[in-house]
Amino acid sequence: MAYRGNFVLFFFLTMCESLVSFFVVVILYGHVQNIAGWEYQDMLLLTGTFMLSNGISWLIFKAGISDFDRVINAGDFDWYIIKPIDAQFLASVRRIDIDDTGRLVLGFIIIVMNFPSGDLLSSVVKILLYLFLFFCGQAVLYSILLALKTVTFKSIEGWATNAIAWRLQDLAQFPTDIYRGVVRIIYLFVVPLAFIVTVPAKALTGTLTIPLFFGAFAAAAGSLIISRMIWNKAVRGYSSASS
Amino acid sequence: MYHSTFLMKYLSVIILHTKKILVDRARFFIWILVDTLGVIVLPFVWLAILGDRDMLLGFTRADIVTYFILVYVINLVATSHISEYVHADIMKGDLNKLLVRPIVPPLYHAMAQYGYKFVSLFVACAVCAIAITFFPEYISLPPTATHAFWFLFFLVFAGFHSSAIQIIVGLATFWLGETAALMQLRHVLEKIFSGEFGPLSLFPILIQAVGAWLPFQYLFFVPIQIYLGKLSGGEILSALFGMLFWSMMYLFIIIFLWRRGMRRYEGVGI
Repeated sequence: MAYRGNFVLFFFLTMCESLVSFFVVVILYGHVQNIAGWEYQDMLLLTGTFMLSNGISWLIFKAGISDFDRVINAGDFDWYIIKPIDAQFLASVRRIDIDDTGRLVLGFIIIVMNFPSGDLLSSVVKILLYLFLFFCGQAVLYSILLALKTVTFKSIEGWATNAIAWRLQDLAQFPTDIYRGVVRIIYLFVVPLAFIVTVPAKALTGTLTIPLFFGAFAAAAGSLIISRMIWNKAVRGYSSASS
Repeated sequence: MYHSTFLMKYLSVIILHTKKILVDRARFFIWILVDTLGVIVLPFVWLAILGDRDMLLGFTRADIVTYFILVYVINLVATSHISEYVHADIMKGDLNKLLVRPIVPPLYHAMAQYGYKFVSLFVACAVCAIAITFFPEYISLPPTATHAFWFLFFLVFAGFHSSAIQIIVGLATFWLGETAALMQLRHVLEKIFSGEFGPLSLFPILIQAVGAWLPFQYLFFVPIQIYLGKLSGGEILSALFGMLFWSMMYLFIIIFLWRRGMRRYEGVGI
């Protein structure tokens, strides 16, 4: 916040960029009422969830993970290891990117404006389910980003994994119900993008199923465990260049 | 003699960067993967919109899949990212190193990108061959050889268009310093009006009307429409004039910005 002008500019820039996602939905629904079972309002809820996911991930861990290759290449990772705090935690949250709160704000507005009407109890249940599934999705996203980033320990081209990671997250902005066959299996089980945005949005649209609910929890737990294992293996193979 | 020396200078830049890409294969394949991930979802979205219908505003299932394969091909062989390099040269003072050489710096970066695009061309050909071999029911071929010729012609100019707009954004660094906002604006305008997201003819009338006056349609939409045979001879001619007009505008703007920018530029430490 030392450069407030820069912050304000990027706040609005990220909002404008996110608005493109909103206009895409408006354009798509100019031709149909329903895409793979998703009505216009449902799709807006999904789009809002995508923006929230993007905003919160940048705010909490994405900036830190994206910068990690610079940390490794500069030899600064040694300082992470010797500190009395988990190196993975430190690497993940060392940097926060508040410029991207524009996405967060816009996503929140879109969700609130399109929140399905209903009685108080059902609305509270939906919100609680949504929050739980949203953070399961963030855990999956975090694990994918971190696992990709461990390439940095072995290659100086680790910076390129940023682009791959961001593209993977962009794939989640459409409901995974549009996919069929092998692609659907990949997005559910191999790279579980479905749990990042689609499944939380289903909690709001009222189309969440019990298998998906438990699947989200399993995906979150499984991805965190796997990413932690990958991280530990990568750190064990790390040899400092500067100490 | 002068012209052959001029061409050889920039040809050697293309060859040098082609070799560099072949040495740095990991980086090359990562960017191929990034480009692939960028468009892989869009055919599914539009096919979901098509649903059980045979056609959507003149586009069949094969047309839609072919459209996005061609978007992918154009992304591989025509689009560039020169603005970041031009911006970095000006901000870091690396422009000094290029100014003492017998080359025009923005042109140097454009030729360097073409080295990368030359290698990408083989990947694009491989993707097309796989698509035609294994998914022929989803591939539309150009109706005539003339359409194929004009598609390739417009493809070359799509590359020029992409490079020119990137150079213009990069040269704005002379005045703005930080051009992240301008780069973002270019990105948003291209996303909406180039046809990368989908055929412009499927967009609302307002967007089509605005897009018709902007140059971004020549990047994806116009070449692909020609390939699919959706433009008549008269419309192709009209598109040709439009493209030539914008090409002249680009050249004028780049030369103007470059000359004015060099008056403002100060480089130290040579």
